[in-house]
Amino acid sequence: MFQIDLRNRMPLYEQIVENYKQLIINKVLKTDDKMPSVRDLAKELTINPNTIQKAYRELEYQGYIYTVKGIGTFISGDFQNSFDVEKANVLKETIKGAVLELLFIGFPEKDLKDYWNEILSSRKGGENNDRG
Amino acid sequence: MKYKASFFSFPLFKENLKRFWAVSALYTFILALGGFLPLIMSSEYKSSWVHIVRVFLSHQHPANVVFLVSAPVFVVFLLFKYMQQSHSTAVIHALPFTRKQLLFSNYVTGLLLIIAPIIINCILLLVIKEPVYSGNPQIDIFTSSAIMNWAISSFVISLFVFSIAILACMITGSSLLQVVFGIGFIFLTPALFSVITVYFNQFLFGFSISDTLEKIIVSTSPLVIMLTHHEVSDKLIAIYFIVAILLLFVSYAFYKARHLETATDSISFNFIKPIFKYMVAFCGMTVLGLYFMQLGGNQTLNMYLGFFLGSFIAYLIAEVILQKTLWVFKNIKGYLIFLIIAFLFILTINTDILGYEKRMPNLAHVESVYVNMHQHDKEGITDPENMKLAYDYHQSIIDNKNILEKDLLSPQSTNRKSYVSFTYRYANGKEFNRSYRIMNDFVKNNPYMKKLYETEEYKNKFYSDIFSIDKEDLAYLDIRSEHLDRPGTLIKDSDEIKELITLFQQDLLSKTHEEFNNSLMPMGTIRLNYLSDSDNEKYSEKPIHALSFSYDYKKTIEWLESHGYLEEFLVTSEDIHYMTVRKITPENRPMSSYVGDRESLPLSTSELMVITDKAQINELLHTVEAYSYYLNDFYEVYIVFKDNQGSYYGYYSEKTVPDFIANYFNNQSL
Amino acid sequence: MIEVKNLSKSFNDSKVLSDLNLLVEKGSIYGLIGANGAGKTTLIKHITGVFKQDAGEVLINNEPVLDNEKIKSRIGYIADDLYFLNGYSLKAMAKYYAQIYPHWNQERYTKMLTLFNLDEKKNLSKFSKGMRKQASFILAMSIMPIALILDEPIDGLDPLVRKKVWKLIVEDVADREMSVLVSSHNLKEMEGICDSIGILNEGHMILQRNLDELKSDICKIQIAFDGEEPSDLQEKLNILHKEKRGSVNQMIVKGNVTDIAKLLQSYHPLLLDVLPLSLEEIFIYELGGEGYEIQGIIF
Repeated sequence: MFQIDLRNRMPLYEQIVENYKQLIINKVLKTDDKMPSVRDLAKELTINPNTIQKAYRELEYQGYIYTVKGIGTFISGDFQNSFDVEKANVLKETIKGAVLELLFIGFPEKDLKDYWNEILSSRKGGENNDRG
Repeated sequence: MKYKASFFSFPLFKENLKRFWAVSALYTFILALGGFLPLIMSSEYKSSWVHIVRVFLSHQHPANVVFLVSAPVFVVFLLFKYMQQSHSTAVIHALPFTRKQLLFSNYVTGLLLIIAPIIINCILLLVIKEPVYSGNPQIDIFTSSAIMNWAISSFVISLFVFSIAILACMITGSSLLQVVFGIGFIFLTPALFSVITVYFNQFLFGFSISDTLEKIIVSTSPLVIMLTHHEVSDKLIAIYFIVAILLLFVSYAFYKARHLETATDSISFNFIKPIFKYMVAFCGMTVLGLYFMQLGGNQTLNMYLGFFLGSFIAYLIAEVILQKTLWVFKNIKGYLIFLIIAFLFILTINTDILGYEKRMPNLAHVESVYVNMHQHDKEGITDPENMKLAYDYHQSIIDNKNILEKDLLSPQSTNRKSYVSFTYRYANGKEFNRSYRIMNDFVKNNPYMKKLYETEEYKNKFYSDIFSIDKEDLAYLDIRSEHLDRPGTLIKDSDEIKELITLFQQDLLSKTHEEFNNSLMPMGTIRLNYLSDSDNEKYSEKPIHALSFSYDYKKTIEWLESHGYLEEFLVTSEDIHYMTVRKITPENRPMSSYVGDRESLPLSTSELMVITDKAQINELLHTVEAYSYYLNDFYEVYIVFKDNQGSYYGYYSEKTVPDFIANYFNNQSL
Repeated sequence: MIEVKNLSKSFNDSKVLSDLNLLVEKGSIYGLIGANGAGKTTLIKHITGVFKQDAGEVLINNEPVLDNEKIKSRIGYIADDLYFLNGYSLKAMAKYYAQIYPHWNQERYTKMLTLFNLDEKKNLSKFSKGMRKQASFILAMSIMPIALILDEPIDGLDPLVRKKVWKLIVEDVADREMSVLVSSHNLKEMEGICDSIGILNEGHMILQRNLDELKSDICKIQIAFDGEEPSDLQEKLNILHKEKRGSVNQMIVKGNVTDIAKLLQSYHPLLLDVLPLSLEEIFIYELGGEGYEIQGIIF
């Protein structure tokens, strides 16, 4: 479903969390879809089960998934507005810094807005094409 | 299939058998080579069975020896090789076995591998056995019980060797040393004992080991017993068995304590390392000390030099083995400790703090005394007066210890040496033994020994084999002179035989101590031929087959002369072609004086005196001595028979040489 | 669960392991890393019941390992220096193992045999080194171990085989909560698969932690300021290492990554990169603290 990039410096479990978040946000995985068990996912990806476990815990903590004891883990429905506020702040600062720099080096402001829309629309395209 | 006891693992046992059964088969064949196969192959010639059976069942055949020594050692090597390499030791000890299981399962496998050849050969022999007679009286030596006895003693001896080999394996991490120690430990006790007795012999005046003690030491090694043809009694077998089992438990203790990381190390236990080094140094010390002593003509200085050098070199070699590198010169401290110990050891023996040299037995409790007699086949002196004489003789030797020892150790000493031994046997069977090597002059002139020698009791017991000749059994006598190889004079008349032998015995009784100690050349030999000689068995049991006599056996010679036999065999000047005399000094000693039996006479020179005068020849024939003097000037007489009948040597010392010869050489040097 | 408490061991007067502690939880994959000669194999040989410690305890599932055949029958061990019984084929070894390991799984053995495509009848001494490692792995896994100990096993196997091996290991960890202790020099690979790490140096365990925690506790900063570097930087941050390249500061900082990033952002730097360290970098750094020259290696 997704690739783990070992060269990526982000911790593995974070990569899994992010990847799943993307899939869930982009509605590739629908509400109440069943998630693979920790064991099965670990086996499939050849990743340490503890790592998977951690990822699932994080996803559950952030509200993306929920567990029913004895039955399994499922995709949450109401995550729309839940996101990592702190992380958002950091990212916002990053964007701000990047945008300012772009302008500083002479990137036209008008192009900036176009670029912003381009990013947003490309996401939607991904949503249409990626049926994983 | 999963039989498990806390000390034995059946799968491990099974797997071992699977891996090593071929060794067992090989040794079955080897054993068969000594017994079963030769018997089968010579089944047409049953007469050869006596020898085969006797040799094989007494463990004398090479196949027996090869089996008893190498089978246990080789099996142990195979079974425990895993301990001597780091990769195998890691994998094997990670397997689900305790060390107890490893040791005991391997032990049982080893036993089975060793006992199988014995059992198979035992069965094979039982199958083909037939009565085979040998001995006096004739008994069947090829019985079931004889075969079973062979099997049991084979088993116990190889079990013993096996247990020793396992112990050797536990203390070393090297496969090579495992085999070396395995074989070496078998001979350890007798070898150590021999080495230590070197020092006792050297430093203790009169040192002697009793036969029983020697037997005990020898019996600590079953292989030594076998190789020296001593008997292995049932009691001994039981002891070996018990010791072997005990050794197993000792091995287990070592295995448990062993640090497995010592695989490939020479010795796995630190406390054994100095013991090893010191023992090697001790042996090196002894070997080189002895060698130097012999080279240098008995000088003690050479001996100590040899001790020092030998121990140092041996110690270094031991260190090299332990550390597996040639650069071992840093650890001299250990050697210094050894030197101190060796010094104390020698000092202790040398100063005889236990009073060994001076000690005398308690005559009151002595039952019999042997002086220069082998005690196992003769009776000892029991007359109290005579025992006192022996005692006094012995005491006089001890009293003169300083003079006698000095003479012994002095390389310039020109005195011949003789051995004197004393054995006092107590009522309770214990023995007091001493044995001395002292100057012949002391022995010759000792009043006590003279008195003792000339007693009837001593004569009877010392010459007991001559006095117990069964005159009725004598078929004929064959008298020859010494050296001259011509047919002897035969005496076949039984009355004459009895007369002559009786007279000979009387001559013996009247022989003086001085006569006993002279070194005159024998005049002739009487060969005794018995009626019962045809029986092979009986031949070796007869005590004596030759009587030698010289010019002082008056009655014998008189009788031979009066009966006309003397002139038949006696060598006279008529038989001599010529004689030559050389004076041997330290400078010209190595040269041989062999000038060859020649038709023509050699020439007289300043170095060579040629004698042809009949009177002179006769004189020399009667007075020349049989033994040379190695250390100082002496005269070597070369006697050549006529008609190429051979030659021989005789000797004179400066003291005993006839004047006319001495004068000749004195004139030469002028 | 593998536990080592206060383990000390000397070889002939030189101490090779000092007061060592190690813990591998159930169902955890623990990576043991260290320089050559640090004592990894010695430690492993204690855990597999080969060596006897001078002091301390070695426990698996709370039972001491030494001379304990019950526990040893649940330990799968792949030694760095492989050994098989002389002249044996894989089939013969398997047959033997089947008898001495009570939990031997013949089905698994057969499956793995096919998966790795080895000839079980061939004499093992004729195998290449890599194939011998695979054979060793098959044997170790087929006993259904509760603890799997691998001493530099993967180094030397081709990538395809390595993938198969890890897959099988992960399966057992997932299904049966097998504990795994791996010692390896391939830090990138270990990073991808281990959840805990122990760094051994000269017989001491320098650190032992969950890998994610370890990584979230230290980061690499590249920062450039507009003007002077803030004076209170040193006190506010636990800076372990600092290098300056022109106007760019390169630092290794210990502490919570998010907090650090926030703090640094507050200075409005011209350039700020907050990066996690790779396991390799952590290793080099930690050993660098012990005397290795790390200048220029990390950045």
